[in-house]
Amino acid sequence: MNVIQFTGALELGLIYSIVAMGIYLSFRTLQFPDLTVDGSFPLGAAICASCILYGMHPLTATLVAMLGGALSGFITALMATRLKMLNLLAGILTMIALYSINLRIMGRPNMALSGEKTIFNEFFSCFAIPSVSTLLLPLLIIVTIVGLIALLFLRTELGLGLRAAGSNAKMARAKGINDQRMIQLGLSVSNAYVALAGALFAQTQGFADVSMGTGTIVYALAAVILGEALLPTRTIKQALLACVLGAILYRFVISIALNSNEFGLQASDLNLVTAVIMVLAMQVPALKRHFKVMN
Amino acid sequence: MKKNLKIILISVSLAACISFFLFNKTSDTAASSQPHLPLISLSQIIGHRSLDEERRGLLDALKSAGYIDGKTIKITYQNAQGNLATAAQIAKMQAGQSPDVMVGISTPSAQTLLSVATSHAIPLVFTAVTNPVDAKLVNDNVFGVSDALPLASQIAHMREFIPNLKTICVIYNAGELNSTHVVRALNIACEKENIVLIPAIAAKTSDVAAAAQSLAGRVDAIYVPNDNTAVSAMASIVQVASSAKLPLFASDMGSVENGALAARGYDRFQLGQKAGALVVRILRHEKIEKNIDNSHDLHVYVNEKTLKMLGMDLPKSLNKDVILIGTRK
Amino acid sequence: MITLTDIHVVFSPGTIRERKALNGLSLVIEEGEFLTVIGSNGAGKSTLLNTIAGEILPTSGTIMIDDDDVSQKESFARANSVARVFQDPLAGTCGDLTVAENMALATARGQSRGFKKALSKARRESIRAMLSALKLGLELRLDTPMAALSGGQRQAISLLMATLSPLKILLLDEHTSALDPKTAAFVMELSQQIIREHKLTALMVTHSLQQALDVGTRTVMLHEGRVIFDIRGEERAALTVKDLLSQFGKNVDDDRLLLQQG
Repeated sequence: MNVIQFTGALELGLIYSIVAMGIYLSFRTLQFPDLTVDGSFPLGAAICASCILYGMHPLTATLVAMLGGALSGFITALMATRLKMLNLLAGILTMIALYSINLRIMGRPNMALSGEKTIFNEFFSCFAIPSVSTLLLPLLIIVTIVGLIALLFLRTELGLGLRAAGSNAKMARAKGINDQRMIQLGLSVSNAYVALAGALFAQTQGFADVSMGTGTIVYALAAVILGEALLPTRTIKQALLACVLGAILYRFVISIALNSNEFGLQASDLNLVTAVIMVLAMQVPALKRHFKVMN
Repeated sequence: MKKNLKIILISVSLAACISFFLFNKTSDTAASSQPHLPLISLSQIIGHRSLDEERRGLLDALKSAGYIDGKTIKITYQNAQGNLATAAQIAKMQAGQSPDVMVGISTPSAQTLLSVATSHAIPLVFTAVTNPVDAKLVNDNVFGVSDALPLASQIAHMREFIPNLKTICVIYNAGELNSTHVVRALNIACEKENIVLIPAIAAKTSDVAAAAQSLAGRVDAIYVPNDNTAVSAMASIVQVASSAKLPLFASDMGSVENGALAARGYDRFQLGQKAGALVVRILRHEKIEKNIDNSHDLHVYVNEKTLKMLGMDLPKSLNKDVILIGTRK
Repeated sequence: MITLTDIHVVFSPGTIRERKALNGLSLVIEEGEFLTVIGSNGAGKSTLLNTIAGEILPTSGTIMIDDDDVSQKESFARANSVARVFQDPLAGTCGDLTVAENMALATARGQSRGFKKALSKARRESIRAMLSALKLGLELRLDTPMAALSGGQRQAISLLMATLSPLKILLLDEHTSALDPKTAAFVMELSQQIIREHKLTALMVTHSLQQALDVGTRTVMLHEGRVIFDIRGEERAALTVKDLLSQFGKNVDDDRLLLQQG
C-alpha cells in the first residue's frame, strides 16, 4: 500500500461515510429500507455537474444537488405514507424513475467536469496538503460539519420525534407525533445527504455518470453494519462515528483486495476477495468476546 | 476444540490481512528491484470482449517492440468490475506506484485516471473511447485512440445488403456515452438518406432481448453500435434476428463471430495495437504529433452461416475486402 | 367531559369477515370520573379505547372532547387531550430510546416540536425529580435504554409520562394484566394515586370484576358493542361481585371471565 492509495481510500471512504450517515437515518433510525439512494447518489452528481457546467458557483451547485436529493426522498416517503405503498417498493420505484431523470438532467449519460471549478479548488484550496492530498482535509472538514448537523438535529425535539416514530410508531402517535410527517422529513434529510455525497464524488473524480449509483445501498449498508460490528453504538454520537469508520474501512478492504494479485488471484476475483475479507471483519465482535472471556 | 480452531483461524486471517495492508509494498518494489524497469499500468472498467481485445492488442504491440513483461518492462492490470468507485480507487493505487505510462481502457476508466495522471505528471494513454473531446480527455500529456465510426458509411454498408432499406432499429443502452453519440450521428445520417431510425433501449443486458423483440416485425434491419450492454447480450439479439429472419448489423468483429450478419468496423485488436504503439513512443521519448488518433482501417466482416440462413448472397461490391467468418461455437 | 354518541365501528365492511365491534354505543364521561369497563371478549372494550384515542375512526357517530368534535381526528391530533397506557409494557414506550428520552417525548406531547434541544439540563433535572417521586430508583437510570427495564418499571414510567402534559382523559387498557401479581398491585396502587393527585378523568379496562368494583367511581359493562350496565355512587358501593356475575350470567357465557371471579 502506498501513500496515494491510502489517501485515495481515505478520501473515498469519507465521501461514502456521508452516504452511510444518510442510510443510518433511514434504515436504522426510521426503520425504513430506502432504496432511493441508488438513484439519489447519481442525482446529486448530475445536478451538481450540470449546474457547474452551466456557470453556477460550485457551492450553490452542491446545495442545489442536496435539494434535489431531499425532493427524491420526499417523493419516496409520500408514496409510502400517503399511497400506502410498501416501503421497499416505494424506494425502488423512485430509484428507477431517477435513472431517466438523471439522463434528462445531464442530457447524456456521462458529463465530464475536469478543469471546471469545484468547491475544492474554489473554496478549500487553502486546506490542501501539498504532496499528500488536496482533498483529505477539506473532506474531513465537510464530513465533520455534516456529522455534527446530523448529531445536533437528532438531539432536538424534532429529531427525538423522528427516532420515536421509527422505534414505536403507535406510541409516537399517542405522544402527538405525526409519524407520516416524520418519515417524510427523515427520508428528505437522508437523501439530501446521499445527494451531497454524489455531488462531492463528481467534483473529486471529475465526472458524473448515470450508472454510478448501482449498488450504493449495498455499500452503505455494508459500511453501517461493519461500523456497528467494530464500535459500540449506544449513543447517537457513537453510531455516527461508526458510520464513518465503517465506510472508510470498507474502502480499505477493497484496497487490500486490489493488492492481492500476488497470490495468483486475478483482477476478476476482486469482488470475491472483498466479500471474504468482509466476512472476516464481521467476526471481530465474536473475537473480542472470546478474548474477554479468556482473561 | 472446534471453537478454538475457529477463533485461531479467524485471528490469523485477520492478522494476515492487516499486516498485508500495512506492509505490502511488493507491487511498488517489483519495479525498483531491478535497475529501473519501466512500469505501465492498465485500468479497465469491466471484463468485456471488445475491451479485452484492445488490451490484448496493446500488450502485443508492446511485445513486438521488445517490451516483455517481467524482463524489460513491468505491466500491472486492474479491472473495476463495472464499479466506478472501485475504478477511482484503482486510479489512486496505480498512480502511487509511479508508473511511466498510465493506460485507461474505456471512457470511465480514462476519466478516473485523468486527474491523478495530470497531478502527478504521468502521461496517459486511452483507448476504447468514442468521443474523447466530450469526455474532456484533452491535454498535452494525454494521448489515445478514438473508435468513433464514420456513420454515413455504415448506412452505405447496410444498403449493400439491403438495397431498398427503409427502416432500421438500433439497439443500445442510453446510459453509455459512446452509444448516445453514435445514435445521434446516425439519426442525422438517416434523415439525409430518408431512412427511419427506430431506437430500442436496453438499460442492462437482461433487457436486450425484450428490446429487440419489440421492434422485430417493423423494421428492415437491426443495427448495434459499439455498445457494451448490447454487445454483451449479442447472442439474444442474434436469436431474435434469426427467428424474424432479419439482417443484423454490428460494429465489431466479435459480434459477427457470434452470429451477426455483418459489420463494418475496426479490428479491436488493431486499435489496441495502435494504443500500444503510442505507449512505446512515449517510453522512447519520441514526439507524438496528434494526441488523438481516429483514422483507422475499416474492415468488413461477414458471417457465412448467417448469410446462408437469410438466403442472401454476398454483395458483389464487397468481394475484395470482405473477411468471411464462420460462426464461433 | 367526553361524550360518545351512537358510535358504530365496523371492521372489514362488506366482506365475509365483517364484524360490528361497536354497535351504537353512547356514553358520557364526566370530568373527574374514574370509569372501569368490563365485558366479555369481543364486547368492544379495546375498540372503545382505541376509538376514544383515535387509533380507530368510527364508521358513524360522534365523539366530543369538551366542545371539540374529534370523531375523525387522527390519534396524534388528539394527543393533547388523550393519554394512554397500554397492556403491553413494550407498546407504551420506545425500547431503543433511554428513560430520559421517553420522558422528554412525553413532556412535549400535543405540542409542536421544533429545533429546541430535547434534553436540556433543566429538563433532565425535572425528569430526575419526577422519577425519584416514584421511589423505584429510576432517577439513577436516566440514560438506560427503556428495553432494559422490567415490565413493572416501564408501566410505572408510562403512567408518569401520561401525566406530564395536560390531558382530558387517561385511558388504561388492562395495563396490569401482563405483570406478576406483586408488580400488578404496585402499578394499580400507583395508578390510583396519580389519578387522585392530578384529579384526572380516567377510563380503565379490566378483566377482574373485583377490581372493577374496588377501583374507580363508576362501572360500565359492555356486550356486543353497546353499554348494557352502568352503575355509580352508592348503588355501586353496595354491589358485590356475585351481583355482577348474575348480571353477566344473563348475557354472557365467557368461561374465563366467570372462572376468574371468586
